[in-house]
Amino acid sequence: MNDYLFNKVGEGEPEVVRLENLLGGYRQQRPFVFPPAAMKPWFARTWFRAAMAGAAAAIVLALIFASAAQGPSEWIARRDSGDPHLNSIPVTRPEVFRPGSIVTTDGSSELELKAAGHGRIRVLPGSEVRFTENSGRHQRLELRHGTIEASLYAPPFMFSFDTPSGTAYDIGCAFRLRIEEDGRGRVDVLSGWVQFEAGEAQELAPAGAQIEIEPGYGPGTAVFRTSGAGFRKAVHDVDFGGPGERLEALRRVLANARANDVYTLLRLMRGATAEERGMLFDRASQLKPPPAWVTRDGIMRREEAMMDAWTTSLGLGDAKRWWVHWKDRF
Amino acid sequence: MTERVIDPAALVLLQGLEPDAEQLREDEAALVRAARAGNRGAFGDLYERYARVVHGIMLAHAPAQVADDLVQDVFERALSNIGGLRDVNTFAGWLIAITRNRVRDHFRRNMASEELPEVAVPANAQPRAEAAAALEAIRRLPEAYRETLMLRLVEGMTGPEIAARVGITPDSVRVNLHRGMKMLREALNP
Repeated sequence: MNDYLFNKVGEGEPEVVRLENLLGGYRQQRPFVFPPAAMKPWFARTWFRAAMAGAAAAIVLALIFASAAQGPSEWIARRDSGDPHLNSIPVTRPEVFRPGSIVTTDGSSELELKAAGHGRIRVLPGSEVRFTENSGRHQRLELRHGTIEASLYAPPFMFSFDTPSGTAYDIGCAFRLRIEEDGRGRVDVLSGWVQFEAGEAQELAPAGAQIEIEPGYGPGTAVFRTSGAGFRKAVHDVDFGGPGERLEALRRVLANARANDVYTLLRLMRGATAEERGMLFDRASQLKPPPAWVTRDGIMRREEAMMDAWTTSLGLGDAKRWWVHWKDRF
Repeated sequence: MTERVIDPAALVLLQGLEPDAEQLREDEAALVRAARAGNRGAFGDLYERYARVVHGIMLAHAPAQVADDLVQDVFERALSNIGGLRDVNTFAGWLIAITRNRVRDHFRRNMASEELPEVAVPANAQPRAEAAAALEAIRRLPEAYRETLMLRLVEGMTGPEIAARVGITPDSVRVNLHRGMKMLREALNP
């Protein structure tokens, strides 16, 4: 006897086949997205990692506070190549670099700043850097133009770098910052995270991402260096193009976005209109679905907890866990 | 790493074989043991086996537009609690219990959604209005028929698969399907 309804063998009754075709579009298709840090072996489980991270943090903090208790520490400027200058005097041997001092490099010289036991900063050719503050707990420099490569081991926001177009904050712990004479520039994050601020504008970039800087606009949206050229150009146009071009540029962003670009899409939501935010949500959730409890309505209402959860689910690391990132520079 | 085993229930579709209940239980117990020990691949296999069941049960109670999210949520809960599952042979019942609890939670938090409006009909369900109406009609059936028909007509599972996954006898599934289909026909063609 034909029992197609039960075993799908033989010819099906037309009404059953019609309903199968009609309802097949609702069928379950979405793959499971493993939440971060799930299903780890015992040595990678949360309690063990938390204990180890806590112990490491305690040791590092003890060292830092011991260092800070001694007051401002000494910075050293050391010639790497060519003919760098410290306060207009050639650097021929290691010199103390004090607040108020300026180092300059011409087109063929380089210099290294040893940053008070917290790492080093390479001043690349064609640069001018002024030391503005050394208070033990806060180290501030000014990159007037040129390029620096910072590799730092310090709590978030201990080191900051002023530029004519805004300020870069180290959140641990390696990045390249370039500023042209006209104020244009770029931050390339090599490990950890960097925040760039200009007035009210603020951008946060994880390792592998970069931030374009335009005078008068401030930082653009963080984009990964591995993103496609079309996507990068479209994001640039959204950030710095005229208001009339924005929607068209945003459509190009969505069309060119890949899974690796979801962080950028989430960052773009911050300054987006409701319509744009909806478009960004739809594309981002196609590429990397958010955690189950994160809803479209919540994102449209700008619920920070949902935005944070989605960003965290991308597995880019926690900006606050600087004691984990610092070892990346070795 | 756990060796991937062929799902005996899938053999029903491939070869027209009835699943060997004992073999199914043993394979599944091995997967559950491995998943409990932290093997993601094993948990992924369990997801492949049960995602349609959980989704079908969700669809029997919740709007399609939230069903996928609820399925993800159910499996996240299962993932974080599978270490506490004492008897590996009770995985299916345990997962279905999580599913039903999640449905209840959803409605406790979204009392206004009880009417189950279907606003997000998939583009490939043609015609859309007819599909939404059919889904609504199934939801108005008694629970046993509603879930079984969702698993059969929406998720495309066979009766033997449904029986093996949900833990009821094939005869009960057959009865539920035929009685449910009769009621559905009457509802759609009054």
